[in-house]
Amino acid sequence: MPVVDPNQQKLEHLERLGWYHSMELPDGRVIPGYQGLDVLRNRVAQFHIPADLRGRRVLDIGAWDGWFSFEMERRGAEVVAVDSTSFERFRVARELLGSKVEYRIDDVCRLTPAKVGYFDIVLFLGVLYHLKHPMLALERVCELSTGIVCVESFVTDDGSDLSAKPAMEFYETTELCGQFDNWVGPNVPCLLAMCRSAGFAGVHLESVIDHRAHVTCYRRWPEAAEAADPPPSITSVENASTRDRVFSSTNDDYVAIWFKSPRPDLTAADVFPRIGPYGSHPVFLQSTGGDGWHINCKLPPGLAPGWHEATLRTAHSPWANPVRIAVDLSPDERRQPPAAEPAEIRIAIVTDGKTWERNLVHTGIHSCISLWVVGLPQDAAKDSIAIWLAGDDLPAVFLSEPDAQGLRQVNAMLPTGAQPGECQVAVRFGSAASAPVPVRLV
Amino acid sequence: MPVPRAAGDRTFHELVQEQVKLLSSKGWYHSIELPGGHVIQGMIGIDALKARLDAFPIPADLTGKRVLDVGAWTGWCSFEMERRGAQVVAVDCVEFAEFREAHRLLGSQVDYRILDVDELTPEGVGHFDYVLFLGVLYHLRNPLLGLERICAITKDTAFVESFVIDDGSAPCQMEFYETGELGGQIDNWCGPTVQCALAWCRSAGFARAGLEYVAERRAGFTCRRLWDPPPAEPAEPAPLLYSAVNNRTNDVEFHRGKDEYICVYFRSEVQDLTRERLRLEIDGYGVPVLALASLRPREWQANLRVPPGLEPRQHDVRLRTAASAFSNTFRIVMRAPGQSALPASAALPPPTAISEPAPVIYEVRNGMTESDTFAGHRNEYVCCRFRTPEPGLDRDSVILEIDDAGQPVLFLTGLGGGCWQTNSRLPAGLAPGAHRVRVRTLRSPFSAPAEILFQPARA
Repeated sequence: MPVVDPNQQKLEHLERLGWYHSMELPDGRVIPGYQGLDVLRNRVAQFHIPADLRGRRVLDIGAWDGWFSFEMERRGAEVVAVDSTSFERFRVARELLGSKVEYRIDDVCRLTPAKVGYFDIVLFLGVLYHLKHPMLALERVCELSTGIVCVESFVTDDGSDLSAKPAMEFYETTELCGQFDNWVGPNVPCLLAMCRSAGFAGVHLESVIDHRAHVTCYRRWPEAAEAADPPPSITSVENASTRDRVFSSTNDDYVAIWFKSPRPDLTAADVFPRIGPYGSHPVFLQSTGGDGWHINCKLPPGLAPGWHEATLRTAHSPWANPVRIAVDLSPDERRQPPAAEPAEIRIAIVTDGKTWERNLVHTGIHSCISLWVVGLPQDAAKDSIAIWLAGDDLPAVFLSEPDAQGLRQVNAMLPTGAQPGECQVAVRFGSAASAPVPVRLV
Repeated sequence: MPVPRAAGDRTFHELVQEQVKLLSSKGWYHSIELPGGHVIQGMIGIDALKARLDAFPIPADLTGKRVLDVGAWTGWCSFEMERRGAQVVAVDCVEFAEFREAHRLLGSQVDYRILDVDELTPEGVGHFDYVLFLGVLYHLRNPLLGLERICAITKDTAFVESFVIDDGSAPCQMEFYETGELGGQIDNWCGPTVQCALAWCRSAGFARAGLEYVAERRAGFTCRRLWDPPPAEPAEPAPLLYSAVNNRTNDVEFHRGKDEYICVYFRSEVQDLTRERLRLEIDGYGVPVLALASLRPREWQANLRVPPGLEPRQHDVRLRTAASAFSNTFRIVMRAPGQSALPASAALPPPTAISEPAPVIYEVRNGMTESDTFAGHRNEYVCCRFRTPEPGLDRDSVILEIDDAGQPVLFLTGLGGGCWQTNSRLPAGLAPGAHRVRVRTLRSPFSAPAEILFQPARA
């Protein structure tokens, strides 16, 4: 008697469904699809995805029959597959493979971290040009990723002229391949620019094959290869439009950073800003005279509500002194004094440089706050000291040597938008902080 | 004691200089004419402002109309619309003190709100007869999304002005500005060609988009939600609308916030029909057709986007050609997120009172092959065609059974002359062989059964 394969009937049914991805079953049989296994393997090989993905979360957007999802799972990842419509082929392949991939039906622009969580790797293959709002989709995808996003898209050129003007064709009806669900055709420079604008730190073109571009988008900067230069010194961090230090993840906020660097010839490509864990590339850079510089960068998507450190480095330097900024915190939450480790640091005098009156600081142009502090270590550097004022972390711009009584002067610029009123001030040194003392801004 | 170094810090100095420059340049952008005839001179003079509005066909009398001014800036356009009798809402992404000042000096009732384009929703600001969307489009990273938001709150016409990169002759594309490429400003994101801006307006959901002018890299567009009126004496026969279904699921249910398309099936005697000659409406709003396919002689399929802003309830679809009267209407349903879809199997309510004769099934067909044999493919539908003299049938008043089990009627189509068609799916787990199909209405007994054949295809 011939052995009847219980799956045989199901397989025959599946083949009749017409497969897009070929699918290799555990017993070695292959369901032939429109795209062969070699084509699929070559598509994924355009990106630097580790062979061992144990402990990693991977999101596959536009999973179709699911070959990429199942391949990531085979490498050890926990995988979520998303598609805009439910495919029977995916569900049955999942069953035949004994897969644990989570299958969700949703539109890419409606995915949020609250729904699906965060992912080390996001596959965004062959989807972008089907979208009417490609920038919005890239912003959503950036928000979901903590590591890299692999973007594959139709492009109108072959990528040989990266200095071409970034441009994108718009397909109102069936202009592209007779399909009315193809909406945009960017050239390679436009695809790269959109990826950068979505909030990624680094964007790298891997290849262009037959009008398909493969782009890896990185959320983090690498460390400098060799840190030959001294670290830059940050003097001020502000919200580039409101000029305060309040940031919102929903407002398309930009971070303005003023810093000093001995490098005389910096370009935007030499400066690597970082907010929390995420890199963000400068959209604006100018010299402010001498060794002073000013950059603006986008507040990277996906930051949790709370305090985050803003810092930056140059191509050949270590990271600068970090400055804390508040993201999605209420005024009350921001005014909570910093949690202090037990320390001997104490504020003896609070004043400013105009009146020298105790506990009184004048606001306005060229204003600064000046503290005399006891208990800072002998080897403390100004880059590790910040003045905490009513919820703002102000980087120290000046630190004196100790005087005869062991007092050291710490100065910081008042924020441009500082408002008169009673508030609290403390000094932070690393993870330690002084007790807050009252001060009146006039 | 050392003097604090703020005054000598050049970084800080530069920062302050920037602030001072900003303050000193804070003049008025629009000029404003006060009631006494006095004019506050702004960057743009009164004549230029008038010429800018006169380029659009905006009615001189706006009594009783609601008008929205998006990106109002100093507010000249808002106050001009109010002068013409409209109830005006002015919106900007940042608050301008000059607007408040002019508002006070003019004794204006304009409702001033600080909102992003993305925050404009029918729930938040209501609907408007006319919308001014002047000089905003190219500041948006998602320009088509912005136009969709505008379309969703426009009842009649939106007037759109934008920076453009050509004179109208270039193909449909846009430039993308990653940083300060356009005028050194980082809030300029895109530069469309004229053709691209027109295509965006139509794709956003407007029925028609017309170019008013293009000069000095600026173009004006009039975007209308309504078709031109139908001809008084139709030269072509009206189409017969069979159905309008979701192209993903093939039923009449649509979902707010999803990117779904409508697939419309209809009969028209017009030989050389093109998508440009079709006038399709949903609740009176025109919707442009994206693709038109001839299925068989006189049988057509059209694909179109679901227009933005459809509320979660039933909506009426109908269509005509440029030279015909309107077809019959077909009803679709918009669901709110999370609202339950069609039931998995239809309950069978008892006939309330049998007052109508039993329908007569004249054919049951496989919607894919038009035969009476089914192979179990995903896109196969059971199309049951029957006659009944009963008037005013809708989907909820027809009950269909396969082998005595109720099957949801996905939609009901009037075929004219007392003929109707229901579409249903084949039930799961059907055994190979013959099966009985019968139909009744809420007020009739069951029809005599018809037979279909289930033959699962072999590989």
